[in-house]
Amino acid sequence: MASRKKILLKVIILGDSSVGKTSLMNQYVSRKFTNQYKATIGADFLTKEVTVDDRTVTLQIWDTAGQERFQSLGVAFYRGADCCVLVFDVTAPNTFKSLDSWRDEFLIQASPRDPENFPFVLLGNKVDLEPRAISAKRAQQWCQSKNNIPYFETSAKEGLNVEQAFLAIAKNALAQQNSTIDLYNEFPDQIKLTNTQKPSGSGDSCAC
Amino acid sequence: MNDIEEDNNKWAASSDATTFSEKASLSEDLDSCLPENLEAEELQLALNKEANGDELSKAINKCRDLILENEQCSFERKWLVRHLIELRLRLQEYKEAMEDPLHPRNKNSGVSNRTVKGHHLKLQPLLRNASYKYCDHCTGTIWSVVQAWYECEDCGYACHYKCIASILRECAHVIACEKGQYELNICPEVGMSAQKYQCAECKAPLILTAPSGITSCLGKLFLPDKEWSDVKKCDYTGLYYCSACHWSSSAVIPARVVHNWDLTPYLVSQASLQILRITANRPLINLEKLNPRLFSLVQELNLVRRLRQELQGLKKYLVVCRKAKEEHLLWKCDRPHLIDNTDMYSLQDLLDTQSGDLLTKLHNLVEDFSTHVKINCEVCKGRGHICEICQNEEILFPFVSTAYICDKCNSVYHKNCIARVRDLCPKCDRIKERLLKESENNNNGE
Repeated sequence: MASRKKILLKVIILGDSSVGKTSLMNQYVSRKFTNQYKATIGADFLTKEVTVDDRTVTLQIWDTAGQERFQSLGVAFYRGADCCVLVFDVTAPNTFKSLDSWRDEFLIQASPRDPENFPFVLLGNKVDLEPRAISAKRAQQWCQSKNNIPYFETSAKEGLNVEQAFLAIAKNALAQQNSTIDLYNEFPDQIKLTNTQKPSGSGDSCAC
Repeated sequence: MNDIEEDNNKWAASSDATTFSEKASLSEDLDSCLPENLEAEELQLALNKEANGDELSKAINKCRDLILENEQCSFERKWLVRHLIELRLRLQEYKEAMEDPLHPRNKNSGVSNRTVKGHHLKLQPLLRNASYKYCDHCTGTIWSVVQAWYECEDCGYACHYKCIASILRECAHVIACEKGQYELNICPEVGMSAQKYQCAECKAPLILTAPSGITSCLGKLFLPDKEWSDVKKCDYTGLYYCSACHWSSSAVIPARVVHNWDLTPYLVSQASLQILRITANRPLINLEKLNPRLFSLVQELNLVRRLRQELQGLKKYLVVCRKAKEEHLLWKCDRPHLIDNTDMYSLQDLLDTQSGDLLTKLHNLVEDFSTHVKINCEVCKGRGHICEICQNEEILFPFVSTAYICDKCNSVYHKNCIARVRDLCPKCDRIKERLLKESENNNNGE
């Protein structure tokens, strides 16, 4: 039923600064890589059309600022995400440690319908660099503890595993969207309430 | 002895003034109408154009012939005689120019730009009939048809070619740039004695007392309107000037606006006028620092401040937005400082605050910007906040009046919502918890 409709999948890339979020996105979308570091300010998205399970879907990939000082703006764009990509740098242990807080914050701000089963994908980036600080095993363990998150080791510089990782991301996102649609479709003659204006929280309409 | 000298000065001044007014009326006639009968000859009379020697000689001959052709005492004849005089003057000037290798009208000289006292003087073309120009140095009319004249590209100082060498006034642009701040004391008078009874600009002696006796009577008879005292005070600098440096022009005084919200123009010297004129649009007044109480006293000012704060909040979004950059949204304002900061005002801003123009301008800007951020732009909308206390889907922006911004973690909530949880920011709580856990883990590890 949903197959004819144009499908837009919203993917959000999170992680500490300089782990390679922008590079991964650029490598995937336009197959370009630059060694120069340029901090992302604010946020922006790129789109790419891909075929997943014989369906053409549009991936809307949101790249975000990892640096604290560029995070003063809000994250309303987390809402309605279909998949969240967590990125860390395999040569920088701190970027691995902060994965938990990235994941927690995302779940709170995005408040998905079913947080336990919301699709995350973990990317260990910069595998072309030495020395490694986080082993594949350690990353895998973390993934298992979080309800079996898929894990990919990538190199945005070499283009290693990037395509495969994003394909998995797209698949997971599509599955997530379908499950949400199924939820809607349980009752065929539904009345959708989600888009109507709820009383605003500003308190103007509050009786107390 | 002194008295006599002073009298002489007076006489000199008054005779100057007479020739001055005569000249003015003559030029009025010349400018206002070329007699109808002579229209056919217009092209041959070298009217108001930069003619060379040959052309001028030809025009002089033509003019002479025409005078003889016209009736005695006729309007045409009078006009032609005056024109003939002018043409001869111009020819004279042209000849001088050709002899003087530095003269600007000498095309071979290449001197059309001069730099004197910080002024960037540029040779000016002939003036249109409608406007009179007076020399900022000698106060005489600039007869652009016969006199080469210059104007400073930075401050608008205008003077004759012959006056360039003796310019006293520093370029207002240079002064304004060096000082970078207005005089903020209201009319800081030091007194004439401190000025040694000299004009603050040209150092000419200032005459305090009106001349007595017969000279005074005659003077009053000839020039009843002319005030005898030559001394004029500039309300901006608080200093005294002679009438050559103070033309009784008026301007709004920044200090009076800042301290008294007094927007009436006061008499100022020419030097002050030029400074105030070129700085009118520069954001030099930090009202927040100089007189913050003004905001509570002047309702319009308070509104302006609120709108500027809102613009600041909107700007945060626009500077990081690709689409806003492509649309040059931030550059659409003709007064960039309004968006750059909230504190700095130009004198013009304050005048426009009073007239209401600034409020309209700011309203429009806020409207444009918020349409982009709140409605048109996917990215900016995405960068809004969702109040995690009430979990309402409606996107909340930090610049709206109902928003509360946590000063520690920059999270944004509804004001009412944060009040409900007794001002305890949930995100700050989480950050604290995480830190605690981390330190526990570290301790355990050790």
